[in-house]
Amino acid sequence: MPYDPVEYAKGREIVVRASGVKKEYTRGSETVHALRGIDLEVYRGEYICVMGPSGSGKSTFFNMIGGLDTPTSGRVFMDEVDMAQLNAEELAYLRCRKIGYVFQAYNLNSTMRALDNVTLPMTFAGVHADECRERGMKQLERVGLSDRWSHRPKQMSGGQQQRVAIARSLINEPSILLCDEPTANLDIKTGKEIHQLLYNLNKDDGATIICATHDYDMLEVCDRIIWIEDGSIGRIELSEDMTIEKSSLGGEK
Amino acid sequence: MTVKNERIIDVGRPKKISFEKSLKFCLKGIKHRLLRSSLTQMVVVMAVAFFMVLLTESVIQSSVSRGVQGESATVREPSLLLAHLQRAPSLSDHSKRLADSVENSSIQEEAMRVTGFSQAKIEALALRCEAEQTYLRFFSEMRIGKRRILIKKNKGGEIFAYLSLPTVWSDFLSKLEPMRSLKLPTDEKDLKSFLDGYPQFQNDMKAFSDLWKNKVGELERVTLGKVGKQSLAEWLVATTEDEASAWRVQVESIGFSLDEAKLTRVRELLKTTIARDQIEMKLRTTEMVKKWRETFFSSSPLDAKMLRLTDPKVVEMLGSTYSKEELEKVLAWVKYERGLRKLEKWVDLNGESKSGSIIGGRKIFLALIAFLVCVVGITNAMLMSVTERFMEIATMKCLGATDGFILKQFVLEAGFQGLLGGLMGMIVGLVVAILKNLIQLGTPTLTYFPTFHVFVCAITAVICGIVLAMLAAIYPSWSASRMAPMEAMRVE
Repeated sequence: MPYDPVEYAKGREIVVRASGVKKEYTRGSETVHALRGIDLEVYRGEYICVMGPSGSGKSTFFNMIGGLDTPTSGRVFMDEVDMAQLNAEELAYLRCRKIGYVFQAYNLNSTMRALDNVTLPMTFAGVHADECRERGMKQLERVGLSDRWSHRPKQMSGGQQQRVAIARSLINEPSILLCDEPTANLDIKTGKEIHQLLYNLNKDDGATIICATHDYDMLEVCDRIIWIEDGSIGRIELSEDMTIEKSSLGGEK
Repeated sequence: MTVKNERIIDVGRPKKISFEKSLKFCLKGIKHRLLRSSLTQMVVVMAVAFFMVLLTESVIQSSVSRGVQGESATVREPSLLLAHLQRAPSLSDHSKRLADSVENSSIQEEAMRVTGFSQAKIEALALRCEAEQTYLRFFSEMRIGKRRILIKKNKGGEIFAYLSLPTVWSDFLSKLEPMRSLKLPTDEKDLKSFLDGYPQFQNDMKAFSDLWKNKVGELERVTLGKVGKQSLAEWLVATTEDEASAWRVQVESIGFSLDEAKLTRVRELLKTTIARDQIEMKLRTTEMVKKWRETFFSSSPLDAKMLRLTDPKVVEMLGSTYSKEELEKVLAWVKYERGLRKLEKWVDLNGESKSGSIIGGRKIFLALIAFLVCVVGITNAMLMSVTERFMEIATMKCLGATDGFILKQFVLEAGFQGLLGGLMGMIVGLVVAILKNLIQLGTPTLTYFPTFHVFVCAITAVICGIVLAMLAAIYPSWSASRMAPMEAMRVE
C-alpha cells in the first residue's frame, strides 16, 4: 500500500525532526540553495535510506540530521532538543554517546589496532580501560571480527574495515546510527554483507539507522526511502512497495 | 539496545579527560610520527644547542676568569706584601683601599692597629672613601663633553673642592637636569652632604696617612737593622726560619698583618722567583751566551733558553750552583707563569662585565633570533601536519572529542618534541661549549668547571626548548581544534 505519513506515524516515537530546514550558500552575489525547506520525521527503530542524485542536497541534509552542520533557517530537533542551540561541548557529548557515524572511507585510525579503533569513542566517554576492552571485544564479535582484534586497518580488507567502523559506531550504544554511503567503496558481495549486518542490527537490537546511499541493494533492507531532488524531498516510499529488478553479475549470487 | 521509557536522547556535558590519559593518547600516536617529525626536532636541537653554547660558554668563562684572578693574586702576593710593608701609599691609594675595606674587614683591622684610630672612626672613614670612589668613578666614566660642562677641567679631589663653591653647586644641578642619560649614583642630598663634609674628610685622611707613614718608617728602621745591605726579598730567602719568624713578630707588633702561613708562602715563592731572576741574569752575560753557542751550536732568545733548564748540559754550564730539583722547580714556575700570563691577557680582553649579567646584550639578541627561527620552523611544520591529518581530526570530533582535547593533543605532541629536541640540543651545546673553551683556554676549563651553574644552564636550555615548541604549537593547535567534523565526510 502507498505511503501514508499519518498511518505510518501511529505508535512510533520521533527521534529526529527536521522542520523547514533551508541551507543557502552565498558566494558574492550568487546564492546557491542547497536545501529548500525540508520537513521530515525520523522514528525510533526505523531504518531510513536517503537517496538522490549528486548535487541534490542529500549530503547536506544528512549533515543536518547528524548535527554536523546548521541550517540557515528552520530547525533540527533531536528528541525535542534544538541542535542549533547546543554549544560545542554539548554537541561533542551528543556525537560521543548518542550518535554513531559510519563513513564512506571507513575513517579508521591507521596506527591503531582494530580493538583500539573500536574503543576510541569510549576514551572520549571516559570509560575505564578494562571495560573498554571487554565491550570492544563484544562489539567485534557482533560484527564477526573477534579474531582480528589486533590487526591494523592496513591488514584488513575494505569490508572488514567497514565492519570495524560499524562496531566503533555502536560502542557507546547510540540512539541513532548515521551511515554516509557505507558501501560505496566496497564490492557488491561485501556490500550485501554490510547491508545484512545493518539489517540485523536494526531488527534485533532496535537501532535507528539513517543511511545516505546510492546503492540500490540497500532498498531491500530498509523501512522507508526518502528521495531528495534538487534540495527538497521528492517522495517518500516504503520499501515493501518497491520492486527491484536486478541482474546478477557473472558468477555472483 | 534496551528501550527506555524516558527521553530517547538527552544532552549532557562530555566527561573531562584527565591530563594523564591525554598524554598517554598523545604519546601512543607520536611513535608513528617520530621519524617524520625529526625535521622539526632538528630545528629545536639547533636552537637549543646554540642557546646552550652561549650560556655555558659565558658561565665557564666567568668561572675561569675568577679562578685565574685568584691565581694571579697568589702569584703577586710576595710583591704586594713587600710593597705594602716598605712603601707609604698616597692619599688616593689609601682612599681606594679603605673603600674596598667596606667589604673586607681584615683591611680595617690592620688600619686600626697601624693608625690607632677607633673602629667606629675607621668604619666611618671607609664609608666616606667608598662614596668618594663612587663619585670619582661616576665622573670619570662620563663622556668628556658632558664632563667639561659639569666640572670644567677638574680632576680627582679638585672636583669636590670645585663643586663646594656656592655658585657652582646650583649651576651644576641645573646643568645636570637636562642630561637624561646621566644619573647621579646617589641622591643629590647625599652628594651635598658629602661635599659639605669634604674638608673634614680630607683632614681625617691626611691624619690617617701621616700615621701610616710613621709606622712604615718605624718598620723600615727595624728591618734595616736585620737586613743590612741586601734587599728584603733576598734576606727573607737567605735567612733562617727563626730569624724570619722573629722579624714577623716585630712587623705584627707595629701593627701590620702578617701571619705565619703568609710568611711561609711568600718565602717559598720568593725562593723560586729570585732563583729564576738570578739564572736569567746569568744567562744574559756575554760569557754565558758564548758558552751556550759552543754547547748547543745555536743561539736562541732568553725565553726559549729558559725552557731547557733541566738539560744536564745546562746544569753543568750554570756551574752546578743549582741542584736539579731547584732547576725543576724554576722551570715549572716559568711554564706556569707563562700560561697564567696568557690567561690573564685573555681575561682582560674578554673581561667580566661589572654589572654581573651572565650574557651580554648582543648574545641575547642572537639567541632571540635563533629562537624566532625555531618557532617559525615548528609552526610551519605543525601546520602542515594539521593539514595532513584533517581527516583524523575531523573523525575524532565526530566520535566525540572536544575542541580542547584536540588542542591538548597537538600542544602535548609539540611539547614532547621540544623535550626530546631540547635534550639532544642541550647535550650537543654542552659538548661544543666545553670543546670550544678547552681549545681557547686549555685545562683551566676543567679545573674551574662550574658544575652547578652548567647544570642550571642545561635545565634552562631544555625548558626553553619545551616552551618554544609549545608556543609555536599554539596557532596550529588552535586551528586544528576549530576544524569542522563535517570535513570527515569529505571524500578524497
